[in-house]
Amino acid sequence: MRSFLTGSICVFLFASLAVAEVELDAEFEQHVRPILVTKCLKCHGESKQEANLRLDSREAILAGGESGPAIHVGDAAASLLVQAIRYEGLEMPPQEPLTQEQVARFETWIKNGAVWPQDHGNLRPASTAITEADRQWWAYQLVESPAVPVLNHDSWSRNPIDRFVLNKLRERGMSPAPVAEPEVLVRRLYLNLLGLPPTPSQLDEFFRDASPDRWNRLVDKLLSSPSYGEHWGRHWLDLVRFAESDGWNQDAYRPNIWRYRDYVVASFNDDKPYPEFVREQLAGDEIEFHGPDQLVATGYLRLGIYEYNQRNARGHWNDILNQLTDVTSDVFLGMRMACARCHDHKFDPLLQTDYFQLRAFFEPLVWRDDDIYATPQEQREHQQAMVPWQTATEKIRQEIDQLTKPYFDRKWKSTIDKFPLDIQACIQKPSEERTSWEHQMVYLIERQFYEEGGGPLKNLSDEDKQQYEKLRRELEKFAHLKPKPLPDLMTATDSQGPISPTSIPEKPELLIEPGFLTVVDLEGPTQLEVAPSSESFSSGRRLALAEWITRDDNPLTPRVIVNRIWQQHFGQGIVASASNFGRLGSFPSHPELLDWLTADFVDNGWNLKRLHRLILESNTWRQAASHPLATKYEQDDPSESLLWRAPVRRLTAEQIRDAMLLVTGELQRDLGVRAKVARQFVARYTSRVSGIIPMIFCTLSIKQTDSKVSRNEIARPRPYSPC
Amino acid sequence: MQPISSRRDFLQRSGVGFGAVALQWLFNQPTTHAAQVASHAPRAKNVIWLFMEGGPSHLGLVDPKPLLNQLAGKPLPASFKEPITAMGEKGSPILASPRKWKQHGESGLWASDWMPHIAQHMDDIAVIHSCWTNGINHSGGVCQMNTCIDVAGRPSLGAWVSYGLGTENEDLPAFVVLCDNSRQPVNGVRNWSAGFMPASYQGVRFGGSQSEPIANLKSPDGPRRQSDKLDLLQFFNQQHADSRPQQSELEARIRSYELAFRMQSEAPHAVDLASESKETERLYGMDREETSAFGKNCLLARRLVERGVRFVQLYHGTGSKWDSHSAIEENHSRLCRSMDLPVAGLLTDLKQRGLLEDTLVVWGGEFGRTPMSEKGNGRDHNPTGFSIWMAGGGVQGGQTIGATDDLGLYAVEDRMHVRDIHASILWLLGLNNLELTYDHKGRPERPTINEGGFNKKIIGA
Amino acid sequence: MVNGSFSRMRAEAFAQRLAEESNLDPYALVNLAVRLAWGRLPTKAERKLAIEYIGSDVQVGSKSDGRDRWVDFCHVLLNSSEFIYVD
Repeated sequence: MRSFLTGSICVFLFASLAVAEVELDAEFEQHVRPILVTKCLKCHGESKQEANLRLDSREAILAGGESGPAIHVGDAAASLLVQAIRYEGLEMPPQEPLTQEQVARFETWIKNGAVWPQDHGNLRPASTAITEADRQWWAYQLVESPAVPVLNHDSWSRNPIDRFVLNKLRERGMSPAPVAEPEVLVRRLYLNLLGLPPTPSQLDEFFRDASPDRWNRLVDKLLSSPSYGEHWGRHWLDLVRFAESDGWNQDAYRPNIWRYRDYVVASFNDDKPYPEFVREQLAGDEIEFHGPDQLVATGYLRLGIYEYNQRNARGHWNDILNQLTDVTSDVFLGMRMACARCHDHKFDPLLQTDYFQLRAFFEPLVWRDDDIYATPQEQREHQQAMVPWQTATEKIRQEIDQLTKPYFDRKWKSTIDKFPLDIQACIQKPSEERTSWEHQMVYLIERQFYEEGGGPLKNLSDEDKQQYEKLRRELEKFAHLKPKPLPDLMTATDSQGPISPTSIPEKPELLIEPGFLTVVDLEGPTQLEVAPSSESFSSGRRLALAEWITRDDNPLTPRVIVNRIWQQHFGQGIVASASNFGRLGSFPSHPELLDWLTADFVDNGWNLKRLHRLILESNTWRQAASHPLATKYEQDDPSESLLWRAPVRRLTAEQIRDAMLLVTGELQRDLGVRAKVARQFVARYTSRVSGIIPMIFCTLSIKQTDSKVSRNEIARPRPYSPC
Repeated sequence: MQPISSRRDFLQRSGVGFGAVALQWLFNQPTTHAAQVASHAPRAKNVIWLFMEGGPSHLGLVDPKPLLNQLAGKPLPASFKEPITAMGEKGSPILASPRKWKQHGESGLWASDWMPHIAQHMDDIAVIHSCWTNGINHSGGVCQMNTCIDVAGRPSLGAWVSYGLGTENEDLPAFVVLCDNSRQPVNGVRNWSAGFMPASYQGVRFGGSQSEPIANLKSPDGPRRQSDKLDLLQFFNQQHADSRPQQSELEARIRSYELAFRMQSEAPHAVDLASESKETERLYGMDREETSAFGKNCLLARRLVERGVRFVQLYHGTGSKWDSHSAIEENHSRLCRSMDLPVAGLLTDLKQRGLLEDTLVVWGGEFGRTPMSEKGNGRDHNPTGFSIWMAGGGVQGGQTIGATDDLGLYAVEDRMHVRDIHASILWLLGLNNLELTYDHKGRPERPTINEGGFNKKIIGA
Repeated sequence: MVNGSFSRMRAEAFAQRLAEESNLDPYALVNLAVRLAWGRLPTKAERKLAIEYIGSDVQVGSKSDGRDRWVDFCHVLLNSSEFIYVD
């Protein structure tokens, strides 16, 4: 707690982006829209238009109905709508008048210009059908590479990015900022790519280099530094809510999940094509085996919160699957599916069935703690090597088993007894008869058996304990025969047994099969189960999902990852809401640029380092942070989405910490399990999720999560927020 | 740029020397004003929430159930639905309660002999018998009682209140947490987190050490050294900001140091109990060993609300001490002895100072306890039916709201979920739980997650 | 952060690192420290003020009035906006 309170000086006052527009938007969203949705749209929406009046868009309200325009912008008293809700003449809503407060909200809204946030468009009516209009949303359109603008008198542009950006600036009568000073650029580059500031010798090295392509060479050099993967891997780990602990109160250490972390770091460093990266995380257990790292990748499926003493096993597993579904749609697709868990999404064409269709891909999933980090060959060799030890110790081990069996039995019974009867029934069934859900319940029970109360052997009687320790000592004498154990893994795979049906909680009779987002209609066949590799007994559902997500023609996946990379380089994405490409997110500031980059990315093998190079060699990225006309431009483009200067950005807490350690010469660079106390990889799940920053980061900086301060916003895990 | 003149200039502008501390809420003061969305006239201005951590037994305090003693030793009758409990004590026999019960005051509300002092205030207290929650274990329960949901990540109620109403005293945080020992409550700082809202709305824990009620208020540097350092720092920062005039955040960062100064003068005063009379100290039980720790916190709570702090949360039994899976008699007897007198003292003091009208006092844990026994003489967690009580702040005292079944296992009448409890607290503060929203990633987030409502009976309507 | 133990410890380590550069005079040490923290050399005015603050004849690691000016200087650098922001 001490360091928590001390952490402060770096918590800054965020200059309020008190742009009138933002506030008016908020006013509408907070006060007007909810009333419209709950009180008016039933009769004046898409399905029904009583008195020919619709109230689900500004245009419709202005157009009005049989009695004329519903509002006069700026003049509340003269607006029919206000008269109606005041019960003057017309009496709306008919069942019960609005409160005075609510009426006042409408009046204020009309007085202030009846602002209706542009990019949200119409409210979706409560209907399960996806309409043609729904499909027209930009994010669902196929990516087609637009022509790069041809500009006259353009000595500024260095590559197509610049031409798109300059074109847009010129349309608005604006010009970019000059290129920043070299030492500013070098520091920016080091911090962006490696998360670390340059050392004096690195600065010297760059400035000694007189070659004309020294900039591109520096970019290449940093992209091949191992720190690149550490830094960019961390962005990914934040997105998928990686933590080295389980969350909840106990927040137990996850012993082997660091291998997933290192897998992510290595994937970035190896410049693994993005589809492969996605496929391994979602279905590393289902693809053809080419090494244990693909199993490590399924650590992605293990990042849900867990606590050993959750007797509500059904609810616990439900939470785990929901979170996995939410994260998968946010991270890979930029779609906030979580809203559709309880009802069809209010704005986006995401149906509740879409949510559960997506969840159904994970239905048979079960966690595994018995996978081993070894090739089959290594496993066979290990088994062979175990034989002498096994033979020599067989008798001792039998004695130990005999001694401990009653304790195991007792603990087993007491563990099971704590669960509700329907959960107990799962474990009483023979293993081969269990459904996937029953396997999942049994997994949770078994973990409690081992983890709760110090495990089964905690209550050995004194006598038995003596005997037990004696036997252990005898066993110890043969330790020289025993080969080093192979490393354990935290993985996941499908359980055996029939796959339990997926259904919506309130509609248990409606069975949901796996399926992709209804609104994204790709040409050609899509499979819902892809035959897994021959070694796997998995259903192949997750592999099918991965294949669909990473299809070249998926309109969401490549746009989302390209935008995320852009976001980290510029402080805000071309789509500012990087995990939400829906109507409640933001519209792209440069849609053609986003599509050009996306098409280029996909055409060149989904290669991230190539994308970095493209961005970092542009003059758009190399602009200075100040602009001679900034005062004027700030008024014209307060969000700075037109990219007329570089943003000044505060380092993240992790960057500050690492920078301090670098400056003092203390930074530890080794990965592996020991990295848990070194460098930036500390357990962050609980803290990130809860919004409280762990002690160490408190002393450094607190990330603001105010959604209005979008320019400093960096993708971060989102706390649970059901609709 | 003229550094020296700019530095002088800067020091003149600031007008003060620089203080030693900086607490994070200060740094956000000028720009993160409250949402100011009061929807109706408030009944209460402040909240003091007495959090009995670990789950006190409603069955031994305010919800008498004679049937417990009649069925003692027998299993739960088959007419009761199978409960899911933390330790699985669904099949264990009913445990008798040896409490002596009396009706108190004009209203005749029941209270047990575990709370003889609070019992004197029953006419000011509304006991809600029909609470329920989803949190089945401590982590989920405490998380839900604070954030409305049993999964971590959302803002706490105190954070919502400071977002919704702001503080009345710019030199103190709007939301303060006090614990009765140096341990962490279950879930730790997450309980007073601001979730996805800016950290300025987060609760600030005072205490932890006797000598230093607010951690790191004193600088290890000493005033002179500190102020020299800050002068140099401000000079560098001012130069940096001057050459980047378009970045208001940098200027704001400099101002934040100035604000720290105000904190230095006000906060120690708020927590300095030297000016309190012996009589007041006795009222809170500060003169007795078993009540001194919590009594001091109760008195601090009064001083803080007096100074405009919106939301004060007091943990009693910090670290799940009320959890009594075994030996509930010993456990609750001890905890009640340390809690009862200070809480009664707080009610008396608030009332005699005219503060009770504006101050809502809430008493409760994260859940209650089962009628079934555990380990022979304890009780398991009961999330399906338990009691909290409220006083002051517009609450109609001397009444009970809702009821549990005859064994106190399930809430059956006028059930109030944690969401309804939160909605009601917000309502008393003039906030509507569905209108108070915070825009997070394009979605209007609400303190009670789009559900829950005010129970009018609380104000006697 | 001003009172936080993490950045205080880093400031001490930072000063320790400077102390290892025994061949450098105070001017060169200020240059090195600023370059490590900010990625650039200090301006004349910045250096002048830093030297004034530290004292031109104060050795790294030596204390006067119970305070180590070099540690404090390093502490200030680690708290400075220029260290914490990138543009």
